[in-house]
Amino acid sequence: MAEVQTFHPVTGSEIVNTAKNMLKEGYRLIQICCTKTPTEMDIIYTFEKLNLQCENFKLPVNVGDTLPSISGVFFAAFLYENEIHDLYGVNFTGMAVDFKGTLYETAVKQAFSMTGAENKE
Amino acid sequence: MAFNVIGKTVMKSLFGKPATAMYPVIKNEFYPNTRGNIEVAIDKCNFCGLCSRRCPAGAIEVSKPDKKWEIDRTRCIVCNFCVQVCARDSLSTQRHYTVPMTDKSKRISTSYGQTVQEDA
Amino acid sequence: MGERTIIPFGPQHPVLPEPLHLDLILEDEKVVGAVPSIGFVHRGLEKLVEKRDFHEMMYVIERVCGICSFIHGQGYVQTIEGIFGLEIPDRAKFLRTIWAELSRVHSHLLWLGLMADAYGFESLFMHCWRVREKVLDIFEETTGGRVIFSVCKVGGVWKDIDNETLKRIVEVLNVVEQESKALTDVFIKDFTVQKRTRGVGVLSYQDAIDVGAVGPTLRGSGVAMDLRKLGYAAYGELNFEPIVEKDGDCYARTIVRVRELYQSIDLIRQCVSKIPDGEIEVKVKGNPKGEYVSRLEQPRGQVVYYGRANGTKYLERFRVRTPTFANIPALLKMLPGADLADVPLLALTIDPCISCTER
Repeated sequence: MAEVQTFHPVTGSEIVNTAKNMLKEGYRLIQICCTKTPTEMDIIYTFEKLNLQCENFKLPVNVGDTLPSISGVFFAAFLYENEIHDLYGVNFTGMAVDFKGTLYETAVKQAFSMTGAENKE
Repeated sequence: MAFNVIGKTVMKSLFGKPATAMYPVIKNEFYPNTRGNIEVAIDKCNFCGLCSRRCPAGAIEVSKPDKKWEIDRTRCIVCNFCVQVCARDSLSTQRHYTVPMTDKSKRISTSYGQTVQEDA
Repeated sequence: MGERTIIPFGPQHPVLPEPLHLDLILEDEKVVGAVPSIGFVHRGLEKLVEKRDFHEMMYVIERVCGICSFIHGQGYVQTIEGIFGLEIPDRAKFLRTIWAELSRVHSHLLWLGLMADAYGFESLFMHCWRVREKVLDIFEETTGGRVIFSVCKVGGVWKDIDNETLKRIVEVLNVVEQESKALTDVFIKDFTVQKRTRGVGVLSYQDAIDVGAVGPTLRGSGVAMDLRKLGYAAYGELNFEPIVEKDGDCYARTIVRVRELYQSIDLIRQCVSKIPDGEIEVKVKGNPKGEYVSRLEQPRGQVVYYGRANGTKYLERFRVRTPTFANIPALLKMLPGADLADVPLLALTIDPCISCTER
């Protein structure tokens, strides 16, 4: 237990090529997760091989940024990307299925892009 | 073969005991571990407020000056956390559940202490 | 070539009480495409992590799902222990494994019941749930709750099970096993059931990998992948192999679950025979700092947790990627080519749990 996990840095322009490389090496996408803290915001892509080996990539991002979608490489990515679009306000281009902000219809738009510390004022 | 299986099931259903409990007649027996509701032994409590700060649902209100300990039964999720953090062992989980209610607008809460304010 | 029709499926009780909505594009009776929509029960539980301290959050995360509640709690504490770099006592690991496997038994029995209900075997459904009741009674006896257990804590477990009770659990499970044998025979051998499930909704080996299917959906397509092989909790000391079926149709997915039911019972027996004596928790000091991704195997499939902490008692982010989230793309791959009448059955075979998907 408690193995050390590394998060490889990656940029928005590289992410599609990274995903293609991972696909070639036999990895599959298991999650995309967006994190917003008061100081930073990033998206984590986790890939996993069939032998359970796992790789993480960290992509720094800001609210309102536009990123290329990787759903052309990994079909399953469209759900995660729509989720991040609806909750964090990060835009993706070329999603396999684009819900246009209707996946999660929250009362407050981009509900998760505000952190608790900012909300408290 | 298939007839044997179904025959067995039919015989069991016809002559066996019912699978359901005869509820209003025979009351369900709870296990010693069952988490039913939270009770406080008010004479042991020193109103430190630890339980109210740790409650994930925000169901407990403690007021030190008034010596009041109050729990909102509709909010409480009986997670047992307050019982586990209580430093003076004044809280305990009882086996019986909170009685059902028809009106949620009245807060069902139980107060203990000197100033008793029953909301319901 | 028929005319194209769009039929909405769900969200009001599609096959099971979960708000799953699919827009089915039909050509005559055949489905040619489907667009899913979820988001009817989005609760934002992940956001609550910023307002509850990391000990309390366990009880919130458990309430993400009502079926795999224990494994959600276990995943949460494993993530926090991963950030701390904490090693928990062996007995706590075994206890967690026992509860997790009991959850699998009850989840699979529940699913088999729903499956029987979906093709109209009403009394089989009730028999499945009658057997499941015994497992729920074990939960109530050992943890105090039938659905939400609240026994995991960061650094161990709250409650111990004494060895007498462990023995009795095995005896109850022997009865459960015997009674489910008669029930699962129907799923395996019945002519009508096979007519409904064989060859329906085939997900090929390569497709299953490509769309990122997980759990029994993946193993039903012949991919031997089981996160329990990672050896978290006590799984490293237990002897088991992932259960695999080749066909990738509804029948294969059913059989995977039926066989996993018996595998779980066997794993609990192994646990009870191997469980060591000793402490059940370690003291946790300070606040976590760092980030961690942990992966577990739920009854429905792989679940991924990501936690980030900044050294205060509140976490900055905790994310739950539930198995259904990964299986929805797989469902979209299965649907084209199926008959409209088979859609409920197909949707059910991924064991959807939408409430926990949206958290």
